[in-house]
Amino acid sequence: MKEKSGTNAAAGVKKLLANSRIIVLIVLVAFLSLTTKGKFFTYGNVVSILYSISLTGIMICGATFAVLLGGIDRTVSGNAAVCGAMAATVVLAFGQSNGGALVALLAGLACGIVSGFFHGLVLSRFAIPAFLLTLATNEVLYGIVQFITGNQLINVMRCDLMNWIGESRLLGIPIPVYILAVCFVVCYFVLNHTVYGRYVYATGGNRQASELSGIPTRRVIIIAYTISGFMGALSGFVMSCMNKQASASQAQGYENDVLAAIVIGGVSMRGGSGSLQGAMLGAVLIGVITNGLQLLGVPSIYHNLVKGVIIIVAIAWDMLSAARKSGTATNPFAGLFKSKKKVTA
Amino acid sequence: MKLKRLISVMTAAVLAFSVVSCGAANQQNSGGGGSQAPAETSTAAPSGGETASGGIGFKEGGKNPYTDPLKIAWIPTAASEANGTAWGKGIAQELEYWSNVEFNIFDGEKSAEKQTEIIADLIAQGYDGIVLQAWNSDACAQAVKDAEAAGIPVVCINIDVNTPHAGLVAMTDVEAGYAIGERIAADLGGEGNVVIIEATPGAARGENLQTGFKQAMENHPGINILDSQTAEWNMEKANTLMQNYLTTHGDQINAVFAHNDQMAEGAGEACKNAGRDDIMIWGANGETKALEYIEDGTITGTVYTNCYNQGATAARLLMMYIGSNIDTSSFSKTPVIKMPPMTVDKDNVGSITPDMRW
Repeated sequence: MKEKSGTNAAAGVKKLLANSRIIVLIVLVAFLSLTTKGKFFTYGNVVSILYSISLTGIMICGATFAVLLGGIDRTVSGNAAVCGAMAATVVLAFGQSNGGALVALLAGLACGIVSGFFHGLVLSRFAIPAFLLTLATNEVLYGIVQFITGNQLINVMRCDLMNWIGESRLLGIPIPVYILAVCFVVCYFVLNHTVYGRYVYATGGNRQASELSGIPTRRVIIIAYTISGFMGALSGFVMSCMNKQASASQAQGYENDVLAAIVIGGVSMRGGSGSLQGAMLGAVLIGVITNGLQLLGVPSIYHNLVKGVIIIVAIAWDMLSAARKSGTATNPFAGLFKSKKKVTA
Repeated sequence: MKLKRLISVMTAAVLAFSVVSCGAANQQNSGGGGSQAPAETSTAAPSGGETASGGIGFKEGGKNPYTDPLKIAWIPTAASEANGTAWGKGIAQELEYWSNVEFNIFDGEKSAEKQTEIIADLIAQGYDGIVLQAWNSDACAQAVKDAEAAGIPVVCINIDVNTPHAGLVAMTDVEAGYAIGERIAADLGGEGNVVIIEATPGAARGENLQTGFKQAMENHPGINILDSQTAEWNMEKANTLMQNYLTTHGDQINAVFAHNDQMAEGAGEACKNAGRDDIMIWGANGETKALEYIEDGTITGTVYTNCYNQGATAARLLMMYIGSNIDTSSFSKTPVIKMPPMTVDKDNVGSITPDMRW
């Protein structure tokens, strides 16, 4: 199979087909378009899917940096909660004015930046697994949120600017989707068209080699986690605008959705390989599955089951095609197929 | 201060008698057909105050609630949720009348195992009373049984456990679902289509609300339930789900029933964005923000419960047991106090004053 070669067009199609997520997405979209009598593939529904992934999408834009470095940032939800609580408290102190909302946004984002900077600093200097550190500090962040909110909902219903962000639409598209688009474009540019982006991939691929070749890996890590903290906080602010409130349990559990999307999107947990567009495709895939199940009226008790199976199929397909590319040495199915052949022979 | 204590103890005593008599009244009325309540409720433990042998057991050497130092714990399913906080505040406000009582809150972290662990610790530490919002009726039962056996009365809030114990102070859930169902049916004139936004699958309160709502719908064959899916108690997920309902069912939807206010608010936002102000949207609980949404017309109504009062009632009941020598571990049935539900819409939302909002 490795020796086969074809025309450029055939190679292009093959390359596309090798990306299991795109195939699964195309199959899903085709299936849902047929079964929902055209309700799935409408402008309104596509916008609805984008709206549903806007919060996780913003978090993904930041958290992908951490995963590309071979780390992980489970504090995206904690940063979102701290930012939401801080912003809501500040905006209430300013009488829910628009100026107050801007100060609140800055205060909330500052919390995310400080949190991200702290994580970057610790992870760049100490050999602590990022999973353990961010697992623990996420608890600390939620503790801070409980302190700020006093475990009560903080309602922000009369701030025009926040209501505009949470409710308004331009050309039928909600503002949070535009915010996601801007975050995606900026992060995509940083990762793919800047020296810093190259440094992220290099450091994630092999930190020691990167250090030896003069890449300031510590700075790279600190900046990556700071971006992740910033994006988490921004997502928290948008969530508070959408919900017109901040709560002590805001965004809880989102870190798992974010991580799932990134992994489904093909970003290696070992770092150094994968892409932001892949991670975003993972988020879209989850969004499409959820939306499709709801449109088809599938009872909620089956949703997790169906989602899990589709995700496993996508990942297994991905592993299989990667193994085929790199030879059978890393093919997890190699022994399985060989033994099958023996049985049939 | 002494006068306040006396009033509180007297209130508790009156409540205790009302619990026993309510239990008896409930038994007499079951199947008798109250005007609004469904014939049978699916509350985990039946109401009533008597033991299997027909009497109440007493224990020796109880504590004096006025002078002895006492320790009382509150274990909500999640300390960070609005109603858990409101109940805790109600309990704390009531217990302030007793300067000899130490009151502590332990977060159940949405886990029956965690709550079981906490209760075991509290037994070891010699606590005198526990107020519990059980995460799961079965999984928390053994821990409550152990606490009762150790002489610690356990009063549950909202969700009961499947073992007899000192008491349950509950919001109406089956009844609330039934009341909302009847109200929607009446407002639709007995004909129309409803969608439901469910709680997280397996959550007892959501299931009971659903049961009550469906019981009401059985009386109105002209009303169809078009769809019923979960938004996991979550506002932004309810917003998206409602958008999907509108995509699938479009103009057919006349009303929405959400298992809590947060999800009703999310549905309200989705309908507002879609320009569908003709859809009536009902939630349940009665938190402050929902009342404001009712005032500005984003949602139609909710079933309000005064959570401060509910927490205070649980605390009063607990203090009554501590001071009474009644052996709550001898109960064969759990006494139940149901908080009076109040169906709130734009017409009467103003009657809920700021001090009653949580």
